[in-house]
Amino acid sequence: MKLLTDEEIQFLISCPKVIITPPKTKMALTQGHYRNGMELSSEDGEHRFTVFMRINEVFQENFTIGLRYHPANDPESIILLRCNGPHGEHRGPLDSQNNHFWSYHIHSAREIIIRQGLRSEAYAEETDKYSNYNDALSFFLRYCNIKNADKYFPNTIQGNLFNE
Amino acid sequence: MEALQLLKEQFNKKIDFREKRKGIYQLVGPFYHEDGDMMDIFLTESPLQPDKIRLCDFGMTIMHLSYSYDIDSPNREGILDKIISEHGLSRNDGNIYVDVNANLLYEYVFQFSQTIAKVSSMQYFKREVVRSLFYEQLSEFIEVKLFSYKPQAKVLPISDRDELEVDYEFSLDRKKIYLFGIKDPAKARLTTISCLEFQMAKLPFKSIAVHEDFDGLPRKDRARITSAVDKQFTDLADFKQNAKQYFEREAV
Repeated sequence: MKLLTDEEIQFLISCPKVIITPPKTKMALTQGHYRNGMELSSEDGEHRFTVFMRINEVFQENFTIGLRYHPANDPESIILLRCNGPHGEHRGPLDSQNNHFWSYHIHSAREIIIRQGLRSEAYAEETDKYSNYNDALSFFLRYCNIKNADKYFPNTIQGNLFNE
Repeated sequence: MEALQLLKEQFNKKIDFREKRKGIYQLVGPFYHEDGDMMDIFLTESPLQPDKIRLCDFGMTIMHLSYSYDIDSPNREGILDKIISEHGLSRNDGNIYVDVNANLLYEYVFQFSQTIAKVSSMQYFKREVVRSLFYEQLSEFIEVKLFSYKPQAKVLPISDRDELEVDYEFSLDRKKIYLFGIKDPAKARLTTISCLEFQMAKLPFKSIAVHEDFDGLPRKDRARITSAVDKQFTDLADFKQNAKQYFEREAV
């Protein structure tokens, strides 16, 4: 897996992006979860990303919205970010602090985690940025700086009253 | 549920439960995915056999797997079902489950968590991961199955041209065979150049290209390498199946 520094990770998450393969208009139900996805490119065309969106069919508070980075010269992609619902407990990877919690949380890639050979997004922090899937999606679209998101998610973007 | 209390005692009170919905309890225990998220294990009354407890995941394992890997072909579905059934569990669409007597819950919780771990490890079947093993698999086959032909790795036929490296050299009685493993267009082009340089230097050799996926190469690269090398195997399976016969013929 490509080693990314924390600065590169933050740049890749926040760089201006555009949707090049749009999501489906409706999430598809398969194997017990609703799913959707889309393909992004950085605005300068240098970097490619995919987004995956999942909601559990039975427990709709169990969801994730993830940003995956596809490096140009490396076949292995890297999950940079995942906005999750409170599906269960999370245990921190650098567990000296015994960092356990059970709430809405955001996974994000960290250089130290990648260096240790762990899952890139194993680090997670609790968040108060959202409390349901739609708010999480709105947060994700803004946080990842997706410029033409309002074209494909007009209700999500406009419907959020609590912009950062 | 009395069974929950019993299970907690059996785990020496190192586990707990959260009522996710009425009558559905999520197990809180030291069972984690690689990303630090807890495995999703739920206990509820079996809808089919009310005297039994149902252990299940409500589709969360496959959903979690789908962040990296999709069960989107009959072959993948077959592997998934094999993992599940070999652990004595069943699947209904996305939901992995087993109905057990209360006195067997303790061992089935372990069984269930092992199954989740195995299903989650299907992410390593990803094409890019398997693809990255191509050279390792090729080397392993050569060093084990073609050992008698004295393979030598990383050979420089023209000593002062270290950019023209042969992956394996085989010394047969009358000639040398240079073998190149090829998994991408860049390596195909380097192999083409190397073979042409060796020919210009009038080295006595025969060349073999073993492709990871010949059809996956761009058309021009396929044409160039076909013109430059003596023998090609279109993929690793082709090489594994026919290499010994080929070497036996060449050794005569």
